[in-house]
Amino acid sequence: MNRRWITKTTHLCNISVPFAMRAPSTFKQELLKRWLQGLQLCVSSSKEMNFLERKKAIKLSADVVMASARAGKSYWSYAIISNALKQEESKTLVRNILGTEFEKLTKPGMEAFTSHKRVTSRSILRRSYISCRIKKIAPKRVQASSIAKRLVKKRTKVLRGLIPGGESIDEFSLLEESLDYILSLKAQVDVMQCLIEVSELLKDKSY
Amino acid sequence: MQPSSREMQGISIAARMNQSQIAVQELQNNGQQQIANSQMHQVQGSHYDHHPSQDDFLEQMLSNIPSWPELPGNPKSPWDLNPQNPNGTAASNNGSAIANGGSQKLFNIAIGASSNKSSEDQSGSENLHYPFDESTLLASRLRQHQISGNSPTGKAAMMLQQQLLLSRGVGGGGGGGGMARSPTSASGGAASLGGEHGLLPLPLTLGSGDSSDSRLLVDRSRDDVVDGSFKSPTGEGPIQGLFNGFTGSLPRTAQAANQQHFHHPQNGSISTQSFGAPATGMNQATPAAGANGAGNGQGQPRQRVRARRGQATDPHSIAERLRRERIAERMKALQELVPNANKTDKASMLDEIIDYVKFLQLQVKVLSMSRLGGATAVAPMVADMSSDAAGGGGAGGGIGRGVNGNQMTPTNDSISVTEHQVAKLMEEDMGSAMQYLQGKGLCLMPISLATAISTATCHSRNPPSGSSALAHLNANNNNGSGNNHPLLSSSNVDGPPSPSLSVLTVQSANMGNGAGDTSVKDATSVSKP
Repeated sequence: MNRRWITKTTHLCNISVPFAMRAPSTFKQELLKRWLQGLQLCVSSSKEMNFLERKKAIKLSADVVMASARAGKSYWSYAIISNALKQEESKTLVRNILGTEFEKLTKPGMEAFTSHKRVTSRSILRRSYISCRIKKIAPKRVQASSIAKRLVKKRTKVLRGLIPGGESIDEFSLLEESLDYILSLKAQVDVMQCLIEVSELLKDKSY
Repeated sequence: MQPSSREMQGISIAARMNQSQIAVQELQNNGQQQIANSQMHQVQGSHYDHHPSQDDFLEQMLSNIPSWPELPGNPKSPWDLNPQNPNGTAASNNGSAIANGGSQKLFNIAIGASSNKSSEDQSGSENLHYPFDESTLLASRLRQHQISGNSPTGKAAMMLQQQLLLSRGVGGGGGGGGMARSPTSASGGAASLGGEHGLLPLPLTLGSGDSSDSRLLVDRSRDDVVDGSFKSPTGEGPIQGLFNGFTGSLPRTAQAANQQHFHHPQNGSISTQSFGAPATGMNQATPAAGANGAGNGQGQPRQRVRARRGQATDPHSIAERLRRERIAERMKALQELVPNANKTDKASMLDEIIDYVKFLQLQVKVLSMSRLGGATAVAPMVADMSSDAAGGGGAGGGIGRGVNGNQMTPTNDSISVTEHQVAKLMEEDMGSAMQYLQGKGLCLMPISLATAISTATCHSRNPPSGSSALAHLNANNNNGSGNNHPLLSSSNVDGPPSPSLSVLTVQSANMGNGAGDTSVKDATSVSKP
């Protein structure tokens, strides 16, 4: 991955993107644009990276870009960014990628966002604990509904682990966030695949 | 009857129809006992000249409604048409006129701008009738209330029920729009509906808000509204009596509108005359009354909601029902997004969602690796895959294009271990063997296909993009032999970098033929690596 390649890819993609992504995705195009910029930053920052690091860098840049694209509207994007910031090695990268928006997205706003959600989730949790306690007093046989509830709870927990920032939000928002996250993941995958195709074409041409 | 109509207009849920039909029948039964007032009949009959379709039902309803001689010098003068909202009033009058056809017909009317607009065309003259109707209606309700002697708390509970149903019902509609990420459409819907339904914009914004913040906030306020609704009818004595009497004879859903109108001033939303004169009168009276009569209100128990058929009564279950419905909305939206989401229950939907998210994440990971086009150590890759792809095997259909750019050279050790494992599994059960393979991110394919793919990849210099499940064939592959016993061959290729997913080709014992013949069992089930 060198700079020239990236610029070439950028040019090609800018042509092909409207073509390839006819599906209504200004989001995708924006993703692509940002990601290419981010990748350029990646490459420029360090030349020597072994494979795993490169993979991580790419993935991270893609994630951060995706998150920044959805920054205003979703909770998980904040979670991604804050997680990325916590790790030392990716801090600078994230800062560079986010660029000007970094100031907007940093701590004060995000914390307000997260704290509000946590409060509501806690209150809901408290309510549910109370109702659970009340229910436990009365002996109950094993009913299908309770089995189903347990299943649902288990799976909700798994889902919380999957979606970034899912631990601290309540069930409703969890579903909503997962919807949003799925959409952006799909877009990200499409962007990546498009980029791959273009890079393949470039490779062929270069040979 | 008229005030209820506007609220009914907002509701388009057929599920409620049954219950309200029952309510209507009960109402009619109650109404039979009352004296029909010809004057009332006349007055209201003129109202509905514009809506001949509902006339018969309306008249039936109205004939059952007791009437009260017109009150001279109506003490509730504020109940007269509120001049502040002439447009809303007109619309609401017309809307209510339409909807007053009774719950049965109400639900057949499409919500929204169409019915509202058609009603708005006919305005003006109806406004004049309004004060008459409302005062007489109210008076009749009061009388009935006094006759029936129902407990005010029951009425209050019923009203709450209705309001919740209403708000929830509309919230369901609004929520669906919101989930589609088209806030404009939802707000448009809200505009068409909400000109007259004061509380309706609240649940609609609930659904259409992009950020969960607004949603949660609105939820809070709605809870407050719900709680407040109990207090207001339990305020001033005579007003309460009137109100209860009023609501007692109305269809139950109507009471929700009454509730909502109590909160119009509280919410600062447009006070839409949905109940016309009595509601506005109460709106203006109860804030004053509420200030004075707050003490009275607290004394009354607020949990008593009269049971609708088949539904629970206390606020806890109401809140739970609300919660469940909101979750159901989102599940529905997710259902469209996630493939294979034809299941309706929450647990399996969650399962599908989880699998899909895992699959997408895995795809991103693989794609980000494949872009590099370099040799990769397979061990971490395989380890990742086996942990990640535990549930994601079946989602391979989502891949439009293949993963390419990696050259995977599974070490011989891992392959042989896998081979033995799969052979063992195959002896007992084919399905478990397949699952094991899929768990490892490998797939089963006929040997003929594997050979074909390998030859294809060997020929091309660069990996063809868009091919999935390409195999590396080992030089020392023993797939050509041993057709009579279960065979396991793993594939590795050396040569030009080619895209690859490691593939185990298995030939089952059933096939006793030469290389390449396969049974259906061995059809490829490509699992996402």
